Amino acid sequence: MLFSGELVRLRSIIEDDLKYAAGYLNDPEIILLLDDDAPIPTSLEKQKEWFAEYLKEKDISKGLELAIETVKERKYIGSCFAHHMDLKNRHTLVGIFIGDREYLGKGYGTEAMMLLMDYLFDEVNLNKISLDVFSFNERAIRSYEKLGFKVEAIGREAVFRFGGYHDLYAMGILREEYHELRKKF
Amino acid sequence: MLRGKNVRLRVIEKEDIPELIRIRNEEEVLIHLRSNIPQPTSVHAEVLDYEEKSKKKHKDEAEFTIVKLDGTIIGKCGTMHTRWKDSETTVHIYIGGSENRGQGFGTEAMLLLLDFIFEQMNLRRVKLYVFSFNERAIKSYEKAGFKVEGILRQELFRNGKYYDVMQMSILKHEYDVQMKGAFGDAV
Repeated sequence: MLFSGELVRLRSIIEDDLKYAAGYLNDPEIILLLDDDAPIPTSLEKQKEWFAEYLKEKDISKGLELAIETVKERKYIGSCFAHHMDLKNRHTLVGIFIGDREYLGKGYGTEAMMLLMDYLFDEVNLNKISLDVFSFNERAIRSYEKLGFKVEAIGREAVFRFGGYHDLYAMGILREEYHELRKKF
Repeated sequence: MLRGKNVRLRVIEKEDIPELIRIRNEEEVLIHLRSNIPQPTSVHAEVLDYEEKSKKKHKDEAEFTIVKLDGTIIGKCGTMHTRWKDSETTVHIYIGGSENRGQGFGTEAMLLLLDFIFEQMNLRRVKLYVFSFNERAIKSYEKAGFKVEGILRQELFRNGKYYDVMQMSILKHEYDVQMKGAFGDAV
């Protein structure tokens, strides 16, 4: 069902999520895999400031961001997003993080990503979804491959992190590939 | 610096804008340059954009008008989305007028731009995106030392169908090796 799976559902972010989000985004193991910018500690205040902007944005193509909530405990465990949708070329970049380590490696992230892809392909009418992932984030690469993403480009030494330069993988999946794969699930 | 055998790069003057926009609105440029809706831009919009940019005292991007040595404007090139932390930038370039294409002007301008990026801006990686059907540009970038590092499938809708976009890059150490070799006297 739209936005709803067996393990998680995607919903709008609410103010109560922010204190968890601040915690998740201050975890070096999360933020160092998520964002290319040099990590800077965040706070509840900063999250609230971001949230005020989030509430103002009515145009999903300028920044769709959804909370990932567990079905069982109704707990906010992370977010997924599609920033910079390119509606003319029917293409977007997506991203995801599971901030609560309890829920890592158990299929929560994979299902959340599938729900996001269902939405972007079947409701927003996109033709392609891409994502960027650091070469050292092997768990994520494996999980994206399971979801049908293919490595399309390797940005050589494109990311500086942990004192050295690393490759940046650009992965992508086309609508027809996704629908083929979806039949198997 | 910024001067080659046939072309040189110089500051973009406000007076250049009408000519640059005329070039950018040529169909050949419009179709190959950007992935958005390929409609011509007005000089007015570009002048406003130029004035906005001019207000910033410290510019963190490099942009140049490309002129032939006799002063004729033939195009523009520059950096965008420079990521200082990652020591990387993305470049763009366009050359107008059928008489100016296929003469090596674009390749020479790109080499001058690369020299500026590596030697003056202190960056170590330069990337660019080029549409798969723009074979002349791909050849020119390869001549300038760029390598294809991937093919982004179906990211551009143009002339009724989806096309791939090639991602190309060159690293500083590759550029250094190249400049010691056959291209040593090109810049």
